[in-house]
Amino acid sequence: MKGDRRAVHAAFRSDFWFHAVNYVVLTIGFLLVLYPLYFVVIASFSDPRAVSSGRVWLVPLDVTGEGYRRIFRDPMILIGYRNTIIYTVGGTALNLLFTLTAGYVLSRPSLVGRALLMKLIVFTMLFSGGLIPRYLVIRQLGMLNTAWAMMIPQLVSVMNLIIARTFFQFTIPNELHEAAVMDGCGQTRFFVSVAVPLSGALISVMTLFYGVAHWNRFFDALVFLRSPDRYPLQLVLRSILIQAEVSSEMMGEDPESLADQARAAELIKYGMIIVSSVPFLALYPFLQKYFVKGVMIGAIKG
Amino acid sequence: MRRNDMNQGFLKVFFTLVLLFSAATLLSAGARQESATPLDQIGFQKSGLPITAVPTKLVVMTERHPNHTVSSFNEFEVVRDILGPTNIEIEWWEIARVAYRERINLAFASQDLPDVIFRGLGDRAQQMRYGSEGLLIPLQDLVETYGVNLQNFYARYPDVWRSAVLPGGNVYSLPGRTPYADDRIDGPRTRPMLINAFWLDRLGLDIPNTLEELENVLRAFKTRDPRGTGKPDEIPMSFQWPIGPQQLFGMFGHVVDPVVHVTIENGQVIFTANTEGYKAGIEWLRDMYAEGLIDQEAFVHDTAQFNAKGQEGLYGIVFSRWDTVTDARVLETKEYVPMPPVLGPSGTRVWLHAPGNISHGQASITSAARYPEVAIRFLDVIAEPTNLAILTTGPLGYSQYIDDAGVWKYMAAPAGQGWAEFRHSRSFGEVVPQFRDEVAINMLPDGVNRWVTDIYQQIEPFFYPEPYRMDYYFTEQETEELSTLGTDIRSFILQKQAEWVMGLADIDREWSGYVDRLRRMGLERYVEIHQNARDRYESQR
Repeated sequence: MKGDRRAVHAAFRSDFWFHAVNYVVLTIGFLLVLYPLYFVVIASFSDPRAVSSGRVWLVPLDVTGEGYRRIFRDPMILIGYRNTIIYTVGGTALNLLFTLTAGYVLSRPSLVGRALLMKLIVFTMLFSGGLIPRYLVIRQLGMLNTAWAMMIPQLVSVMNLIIARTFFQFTIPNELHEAAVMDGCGQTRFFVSVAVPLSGALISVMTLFYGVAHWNRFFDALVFLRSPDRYPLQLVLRSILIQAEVSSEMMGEDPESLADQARAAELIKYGMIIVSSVPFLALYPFLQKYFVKGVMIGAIKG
Repeated sequence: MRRNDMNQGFLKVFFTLVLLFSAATLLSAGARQESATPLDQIGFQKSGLPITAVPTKLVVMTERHPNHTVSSFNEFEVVRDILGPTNIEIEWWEIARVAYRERINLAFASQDLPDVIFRGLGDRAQQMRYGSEGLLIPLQDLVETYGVNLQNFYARYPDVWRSAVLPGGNVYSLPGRTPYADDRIDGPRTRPMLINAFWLDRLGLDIPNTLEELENVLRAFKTRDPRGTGKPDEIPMSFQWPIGPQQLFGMFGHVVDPVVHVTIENGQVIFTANTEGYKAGIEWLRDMYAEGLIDQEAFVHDTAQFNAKGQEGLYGIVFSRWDTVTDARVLETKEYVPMPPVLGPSGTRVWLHAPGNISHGQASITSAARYPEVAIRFLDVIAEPTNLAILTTGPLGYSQYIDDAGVWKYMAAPAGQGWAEFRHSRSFGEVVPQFRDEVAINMLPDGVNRWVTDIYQQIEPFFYPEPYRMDYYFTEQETEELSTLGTDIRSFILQKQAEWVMGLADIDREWSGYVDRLRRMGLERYVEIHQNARDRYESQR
């Protein structure tokens, strides 16, 4: 009896230390991750001078809403926001359409030449034509300076295609297909009525992967667009934030303007980080439960 | 009969041939006539407006400033007013500033070219390459025939034009001047030296004239609390390395250019970063740094941090333009005043001077332009001084006005709006080609012009007479060599400077190894390349 109690006690004590260390380590880790985010938030409300002199670190100083006011006054930022939403929604829809159908087809053992097709697809993952040939292709397709240039060129990501194919291979067994065929179901019907409804996790993950990629994409805009009213948010933000460095190299700008821009860039820097990442931060909790599952989708099971 | 047949056959063939030939001649004559007068067809005029009677399209590629808010430059009232009467329909390719350089390269690589490129083709080796490939067209004859305003500008600044003439005699891109960075006092390598006159007054000190006096002033700034806050928060001297105190190194020996590290003495290019004078300068800085007389963050702070400290008024001596310590402190209260270089131990008192106020690649015409004559006249309309001032800064009565003395002045931005935001909402800013002259200096904020002249008068007597100019031309091969060789040497020097001054390494122990390593990095070739560039420049004179 006594021995038992001592054992329990010892177990509790050892557990206590285990938990204590756990909590401390995790709390520190949590704070390390949280602080930069927190800093961005308070810095976005502080006077930029206080931020760059390093006085802001725990609470906002000289609180000002000027940064946000300037952001929402700038028509280019609002146009950029609108464009990014269009590119993200439209682009992701197209991505899903092509990735899911291609993934499904490639997962069917009855497809002739499946291995060869897969090899060809993976080949594109490793080798590409390079920037200039790509530009020429987009130009000849007449997509230069159109929204299509933002959505079509990277329609299917090979990585995501492989994930989709693996998912279909392992979660939609061929037996299911055979059963459906017995009931007179064709491939299309099977895909639409059986495979897709069973792929909620996959679709969520693909939406997140593609959506984030579209949201952050600026290089295609930089290369293929030349009308400012088609510029996505990221290109607009980048222009504002890194102009200070570039213009010192650019020749001879009015110093008053330069100083004003440098001030403005400091002023809106943190606010813009928030404004541009809020949509996905807001979306994340809803997709997160699928996301954790999604990471393991590609893994081989059983 | 047979013979007849043969004759007939022969005649048939003969006549057919004659017919064909004459038809071909007629056709080709017609074609030649057509291609000889395309300018007439669009009603091109050699002078006056409109440039063409028939509306003509011109594709212009230009950079776009982040503060531009119109969705197309054609919406600008200044474009309608000034470029509208030319009867040219402009298709703008408005490229975000971050992407501009990349897009220019891409346009040439893919040969998907606009007719005119504004700015950005500043690299003369690049101009040379595209020119010799036929992608850029030579401009010298066009300017001579059609460029009235351009000719006026280049007649006033023959150096500017000359420096854009490439080997072979062609000019592929119109050069201009940097209208604001006045190379009399500042540029990419130099900054005025400003000293806090209020602090000097409070401590009963004068502007230092010798190195020893300078050190004493710095010590007084540090220890005698000139701000009167009771805290040692003063920063006796600050700068943004590598710009700054190296401008003073001439007092220890050779004049030091903080970027290229070469100077010219009696026509010979001399490398300075391995000389005894340079070493003495670095040692001096090291001692100042150890004593806390130099901003301890001078090697690491960025522009925002550097300016933030300046705006709080923490600096005693600072190497900067007026914007770091705010224009009010410089222009109105005169808290900061310019200061000439000090007399050094070698008995010299000299100030680095890096002239070459030329900015290349203001405008180019490509092989895609169907009517180069139209394009050059379009550029010439832009180059008209009044037009250019308005296109650059905004309409009269909005962002600028002409005062009673006939001087162009800025109008203040409305409260709550920045100047850049204000002017760019109705004008191009400096993305239009800048063929500006001194008038632009008058357009700096009120008082700056006088101030610049004032500084110039103070430091001009100390200017180094044989400056290393910034507008030397390097061939493509030299540029390529410099991009590896030069970058290695410069970054090695920068790294050692910081280590030595901050006391992370001992200069005395490392010096001979450092000199040796520089030599092994190809110093001889580095000097040779700069010597060639300098000789080329002088031989064109």
